[in-house]
Amino acid sequence: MALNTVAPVLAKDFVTLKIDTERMTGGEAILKRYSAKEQGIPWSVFLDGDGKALIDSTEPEEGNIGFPETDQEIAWFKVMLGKVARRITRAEIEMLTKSLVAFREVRLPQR
Amino acid sequence: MRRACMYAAFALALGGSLAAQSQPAEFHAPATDDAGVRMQTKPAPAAPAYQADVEARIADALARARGENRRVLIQWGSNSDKASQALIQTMTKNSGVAYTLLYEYEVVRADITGSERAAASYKADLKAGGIPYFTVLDADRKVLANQPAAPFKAQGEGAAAYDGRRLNDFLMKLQAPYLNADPLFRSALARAKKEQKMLFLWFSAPW
Repeated sequence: MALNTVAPVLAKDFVTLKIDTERMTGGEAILKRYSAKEQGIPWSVFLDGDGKALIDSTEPEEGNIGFPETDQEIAWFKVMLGKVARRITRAEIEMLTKSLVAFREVRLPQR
Repeated sequence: MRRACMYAAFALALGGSLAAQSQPAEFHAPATDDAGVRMQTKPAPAAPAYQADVEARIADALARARGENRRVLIQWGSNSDKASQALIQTMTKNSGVAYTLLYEYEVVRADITGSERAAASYKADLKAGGIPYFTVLDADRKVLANQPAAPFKAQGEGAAAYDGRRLNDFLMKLQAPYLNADPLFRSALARAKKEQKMLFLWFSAPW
């Protein structure tokens, strides 16, 4: 997220922080604070400036999307962005989600 | 596990240029004749383990190390040197060493041919120490150690085999201290509030 063309788009609405739960002291505790049940990682959440969770990567029917790979998972990531975006435009959300689709099709092993 | 590995590439997926990703390094379009009929082709040769263009790759590794709180391990060697090849075997096959490298290091395998200036800049005395040879950097490019690999050779297992346990001890002693997540979290949250933004908090692991 800190790289190239997308970083300025995300930075319009977000400060980003990666917590490595295996290599950071206290990382697991922060995960448990926001993730009500054990859902595994990767897991992500958008917080407001007071630390209140706005939406997270747990899709209501399918559970934690982890890395958004399938159409359904990418769709949920789009929902996440769409729910909270204030300065990021719809077109930019489309660009972000399309980049995930393109990444899946170009870089990931064929299933 | 596969999904987790993919998430490790999340930053690249979101941040990377699609144009740059349109042909990954391992992609080779099939050759065709004038009529467009696919011809028999030889498989692409594997990339050499020890590569040139050292400084650019070290710069990339340092950038990744800064983002992930890791060290950079420069492994000086030669593709024609048996000991250099044997060391790669130990580093990839020994589970302890492989684990430490996965979690704690960005590894750059540097071909010594043409890398003399780069080695000198890190005070890696390859002439005296021989190859293979290690230089460990912190994420700010500070040299933490210069170490010939020869002392890690295994006793009685042949001249080109390395002791994974001792090698792993060396690597673990030099790994970056773990960061405390809580002050980082509070600082990021305060910044988000000040800038009237949200915090995109994502949890993952090195694998």
